[in-house]
Amino acid sequence: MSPPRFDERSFLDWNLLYLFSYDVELDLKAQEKLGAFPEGVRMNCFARRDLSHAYSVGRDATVAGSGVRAISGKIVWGGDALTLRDDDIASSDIRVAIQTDDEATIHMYYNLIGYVGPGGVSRIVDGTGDDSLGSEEEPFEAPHVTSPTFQCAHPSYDWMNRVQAIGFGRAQLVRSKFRRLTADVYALT
Amino acid sequence: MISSSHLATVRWGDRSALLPKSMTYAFSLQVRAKAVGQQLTISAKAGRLFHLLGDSLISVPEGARYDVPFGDLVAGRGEIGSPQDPLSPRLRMQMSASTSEVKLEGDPGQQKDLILMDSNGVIDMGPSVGFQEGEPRPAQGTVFLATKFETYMPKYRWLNRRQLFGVGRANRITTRTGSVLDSSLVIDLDLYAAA
Repeated sequence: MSPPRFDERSFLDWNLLYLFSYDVELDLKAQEKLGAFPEGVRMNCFARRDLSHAYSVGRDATVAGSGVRAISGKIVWGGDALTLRDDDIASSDIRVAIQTDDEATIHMYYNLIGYVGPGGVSRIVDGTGDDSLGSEEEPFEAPHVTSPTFQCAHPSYDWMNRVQAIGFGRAQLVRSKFRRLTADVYALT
Repeated sequence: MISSSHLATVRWGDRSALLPKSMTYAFSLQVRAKAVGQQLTISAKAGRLFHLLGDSLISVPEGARYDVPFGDLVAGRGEIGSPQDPLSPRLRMQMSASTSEVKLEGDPGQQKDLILMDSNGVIDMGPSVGFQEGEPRPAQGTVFLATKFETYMPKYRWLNRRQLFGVGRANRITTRTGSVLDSSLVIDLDLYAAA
């Protein structure tokens, strides 16, 4: 194989436009451990609607530079179909419904891939006592990057249907259970 | 800078500062797909993986250094929108690339050096440009997508563990041969690692 060659073009321009942040408190009672399957261990997690919401960290009224209304509201439903693979990679299929303060419903969905470190999957699945991940005083924090896209029929937010976003987030685990998620969501422009 | 101890003490929902973020250039991808309506077909050597500066190693935001995959696309397919929603800007492409010379079909060694790519994102060629059946017109636009990888090769196994984010340009080219009008979509993407 010949070595990689220079290309005539230069780097393509792009930018990130901050859209909103969201916090999700997971419902510990509703977590479902489905068990081991050929592709890995399957778990389902659900959001607590009373403690989960979307907001602007600057409490801005509009999305900067666009003039459109900032995204702020309650997360009325959130579900995460999580697969913990044998190679210590966590793969998630996440769907979230945001009900904005002006009564629009925005559906956000994304896949997530995260490396949980050597032995991380077994600590999440089987971890007990000292081997469990995180404590109430010191939660284990797992950075992750997500790729949200949106569906919304409301005319004030239909521009989001054409957005590929990127989310920079943190998940917190307490005693090997996923407890909280927080993330900042940006549009790739 | 938000630390874990800071996050633990801030009441959930009271965050007033953005989380740290970083994106670094990984490598580039060029695809030339034959377009029939909303369907895209990518044939062997109709695209490639390469690094714009010719580097063979890259640094990801976490600081680790990894090998850059480079080579030709072997095959692929894609779809813009869906039969139910032909005006949707959603773009999905599934491609495979070989990091050595593309071998003849049936060669037992063919699958050893493959990288599979599954990309989902959006394409915007302007409000009046659709991808439905009919006579295509030349157009240019933007593409943003997220790509997942699967590979057996140990030196590229880092790709299995993360998504890369692609920012790109799309160029629809039409060529007429006799009475037949062929349409191709050329997509240039720079892929970035994020953390």
